[in-house]
Amino acid sequence: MEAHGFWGVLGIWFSAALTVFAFSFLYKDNPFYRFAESLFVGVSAGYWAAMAVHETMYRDVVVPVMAGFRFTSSDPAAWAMILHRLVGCALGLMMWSRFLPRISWMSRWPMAFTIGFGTGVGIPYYIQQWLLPQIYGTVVPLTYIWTRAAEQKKQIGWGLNPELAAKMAEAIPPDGMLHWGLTISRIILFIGVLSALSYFFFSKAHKGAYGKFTRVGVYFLMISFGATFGNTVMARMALLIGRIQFLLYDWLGTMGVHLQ
Amino acid sequence: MQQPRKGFWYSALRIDRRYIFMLVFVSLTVPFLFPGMRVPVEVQNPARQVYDFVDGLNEGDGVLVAFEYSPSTAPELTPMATCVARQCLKKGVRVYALSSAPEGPPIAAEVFRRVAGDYGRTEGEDYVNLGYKPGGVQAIVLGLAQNVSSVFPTDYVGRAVADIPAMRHFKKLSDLKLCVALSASTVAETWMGLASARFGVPVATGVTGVMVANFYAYLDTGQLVGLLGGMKGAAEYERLIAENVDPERGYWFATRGMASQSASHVLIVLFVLFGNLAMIMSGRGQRRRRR
Repeated sequence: MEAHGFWGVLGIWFSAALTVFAFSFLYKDNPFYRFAESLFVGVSAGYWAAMAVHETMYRDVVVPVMAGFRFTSSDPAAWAMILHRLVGCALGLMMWSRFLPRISWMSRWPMAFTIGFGTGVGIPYYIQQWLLPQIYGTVVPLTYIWTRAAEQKKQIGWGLNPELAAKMAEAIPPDGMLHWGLTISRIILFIGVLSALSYFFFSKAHKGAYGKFTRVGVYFLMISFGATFGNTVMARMALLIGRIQFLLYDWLGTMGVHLQ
Repeated sequence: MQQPRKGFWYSALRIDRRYIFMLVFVSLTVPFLFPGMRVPVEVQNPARQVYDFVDGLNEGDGVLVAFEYSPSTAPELTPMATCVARQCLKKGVRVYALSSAPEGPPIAAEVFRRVAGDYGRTEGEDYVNLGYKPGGVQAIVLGLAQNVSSVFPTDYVGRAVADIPAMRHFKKLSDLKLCVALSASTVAETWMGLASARFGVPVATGVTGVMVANFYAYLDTGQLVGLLGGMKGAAEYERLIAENVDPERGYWFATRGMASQSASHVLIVLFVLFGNLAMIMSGRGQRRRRR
């Protein structure tokens, strides 16, 4: 267990109190919860504002521009750097013109720059990242001929007792064999992609055999939503576990109670 | 004729939800009080792939860890960050941390503070916390691909990167052997899309449980070299580290939470079954269908 100084212990107690205040809302709304909520909103807003001013205005504009002016006499390239920073700063300030109706047109320039940059970077990136690799990953042979026996046998020992690892290694098919598990997986992938896409194809009525096929797509979508819901439950519980661990280990630890 | 609105099953449907909250809290807390209730963690391939990739790196290689999350999702993602840092620093692989979220750098600093001392690693030589940069991940990755010091002229505490010894080996993105994007949002996809697809640096991600289902598709296509999903993924990585890298340490955050995780899942499944049974037995479902 880590040793905490006075301020460390005080921080843990304050944090524990805020955790309990936040959870008290589960019983009913109360002033302690509202205090914790207001404090969180205020601190978050203040932290974000301070970071934005310090990291953007101070570190990206003030510091480099001031440094640049010191070198302009010896290095003419410093002017380019200063101009680069000031143009960016001017575009950022022009965004604020939206609050002044007479000059609000000025905000269109930085907006145009942002949208142009976003689109220019985004379109090829979207095609490279999502579209093509996902198409490559989907359009694969339906059969899978096994070629990874050696690699799999090397990995099988991880975290297992030797007897179980040996049994599992025996079950790995030799290279050149048809891998039934992955073949079935690919057939399911093929049917799933086709039926789910068919469900979103509205130019043909979902009736008869086609309607039944699109229904299969709905089942695939439902399974996908179910998996997402299960993972969401896991994630929410994990967050609660984080707080419970904090209370049981860190907070109780300050009182000399050390759980295993 | 409407059925009478009374009886056990009807009352069960109107149970005060605070009892449910209390039961969930108890199911999560009890496993911590009884260490014998720990559950075994089976290591799955996506987590093993991350471990194996880092294991294959050489001393002196560079790994970038993007702390793209805030304390609200730290219970899931910080154990992953700790494991990556532990494995890299033990091997002598240099770790560079950065973030496009303002809350990321303090979390990175805390991870390094806890881990680096165990292996005698020093800031600036073996790891660097470059801090936060506003403007979005796209701009950051594009800038890193050209020149790191143009995006991060100083590190988290304000030291010029030119004066940091470890930064001599990280001038641009392609100097790195791996990017690990730890994220509670789609930022991890942006890292994958730009760093991996465009600049050819392998990317592994650690994401929250809410998002992990979407990321399996990228793992299957080889766009990711590995995937850590939620607290389960973190616990798997912790097991690999505990067995192979640092067997002496006993503090494993995610592994310790898995018993609570399992207990709460069992409880929720029971709630779902009970709720459906109560709906059928009380006849409410039938009435709703008739309407």
